[in-house]
Amino acid sequence: MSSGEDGSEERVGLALEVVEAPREPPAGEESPEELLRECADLRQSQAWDRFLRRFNPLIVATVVRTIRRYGFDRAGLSDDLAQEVYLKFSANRAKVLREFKPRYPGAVFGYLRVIAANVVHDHFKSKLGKHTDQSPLPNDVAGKDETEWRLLLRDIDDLLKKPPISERDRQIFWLYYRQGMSAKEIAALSSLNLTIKGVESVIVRLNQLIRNAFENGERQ
Amino acid sequence: MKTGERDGGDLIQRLQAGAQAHRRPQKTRSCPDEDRLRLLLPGQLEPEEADKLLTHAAECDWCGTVLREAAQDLSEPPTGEEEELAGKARLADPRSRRELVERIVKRRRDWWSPIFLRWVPAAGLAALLLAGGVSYQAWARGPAHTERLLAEAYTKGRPMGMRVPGAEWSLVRTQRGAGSSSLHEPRELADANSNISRAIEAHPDDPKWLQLEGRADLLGGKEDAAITELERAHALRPGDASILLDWGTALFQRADAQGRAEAFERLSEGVRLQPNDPALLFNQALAAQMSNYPNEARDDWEKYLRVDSTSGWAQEARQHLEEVKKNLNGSGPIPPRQPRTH
Repeated sequence: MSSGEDGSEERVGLALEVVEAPREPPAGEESPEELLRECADLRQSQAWDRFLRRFNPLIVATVVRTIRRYGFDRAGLSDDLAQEVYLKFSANRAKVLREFKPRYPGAVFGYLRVIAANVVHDHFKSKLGKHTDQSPLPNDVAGKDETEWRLLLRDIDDLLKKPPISERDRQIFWLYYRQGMSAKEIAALSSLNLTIKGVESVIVRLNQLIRNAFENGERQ
Repeated sequence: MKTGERDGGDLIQRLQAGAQAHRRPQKTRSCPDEDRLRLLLPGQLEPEEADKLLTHAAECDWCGTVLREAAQDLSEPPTGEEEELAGKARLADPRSRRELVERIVKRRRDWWSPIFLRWVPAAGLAALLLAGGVSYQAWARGPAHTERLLAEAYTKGRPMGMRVPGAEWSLVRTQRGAGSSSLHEPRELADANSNISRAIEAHPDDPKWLQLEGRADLLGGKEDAAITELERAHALRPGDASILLDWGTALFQRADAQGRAEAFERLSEGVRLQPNDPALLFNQALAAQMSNYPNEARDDWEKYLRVDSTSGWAQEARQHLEEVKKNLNGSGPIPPRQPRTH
């Protein structure tokens, strides 16, 4: 870890901290990345057997958790969907496995979990239809409170779009304050490459900056 | 983070309270594929795409929710209970695992073996056929051919007075409404729709494919869907006159007064960009005529006939011009000349 200029800490290998804590492969056992590469060749039945033994607990646990999002909790369904996940891994000459990029140690665990979760979401989307995408609006006409809130959002966003605030910091601010994500959840987004402390540091700094700007009447 | 830092300050409190009360998670057409969105977690996306998706999710309550739920689900390792369930799962049994592995490997073998058995002796020929097949498929599924298919579908059963680009003249045959049966859909339209679905799935933000999707929906009588798609295509490529042509046509076909006035504006914008495009000129003149702008209509039909004086379209344009002139010279009050919007 190294401290960034803004007080955030750059992170190396999110999976080590947040998504998963991969165990070191015992001596003589291939790394998960190597195993994935082997399985991209669909002739390797032994590699596939090792793959299933090694990753099945993670895949099934992810499938079970995602199914519960939809209010289901049936063992047969999780078995069927776990099998679907492996067929997805092997489809199109194992396209999913071939596309994996080992960007940091342990990235493979988070990747496999996301693919497993996607299979479950796709299953329910096709089962429940497009209606699941549409949550009804509470009220199409914005009330006074909402209008004021939207004006506040706009004023703050205007401030956040000014230099020296980076686009990444603006994204973090809104993920936290508008989308309600915790610092830990934001830090789980490996694309941001930040630790939990790094995310918190961005939020505290922007929070202060906005308050100062509003107190001094700097906002437009 | 200390609680006070998140909750302290009235401004931030108002911001959070507002988010709780007024967030509107509703998916829109500009929302990205949710599977891609979740790939932000393991950091598998190229920085440019990741940045685009994060910016969207930060501001979109639907995608923000998808991302938050994914982070909640995937940032915690499996619980003891989930691990226990995994231990009892079907694939925890070695025999079931072997069966699945066999299925995966067999699938690949099934795909591969006929090549060895039948094709390898003629490998050179197969390679040539394959190359030809791939090129043919790429061509048959490409936007140029799909556009051609749509033009042919239009000519085969011309569903409206307005033109679509590249279509030959034919008589207006039927009036299709929203929800008309796909059983009566020309084969060309079905083929075009299949190309479009495939392409849109792979490239949801490609303005050309969005335009073709809009045009296909227009030919299928789904004007509202067409307008949405064409609006989006226009937002992505605002200087494209052919998108304005399709958009204006779709607005016109919706056939309400507001739609017709707006259609006339969109088509006029298109004509400003491509002053000699016959389809744009034709549709603009028709929109003016049907919107009861007779002076505009007369000028526009005359302009059209200066660009095209010989085709079947020209013959139709002459009939429209005669009708407009008759109305201007004959019975009934002449509506005042409408100012152009440009």
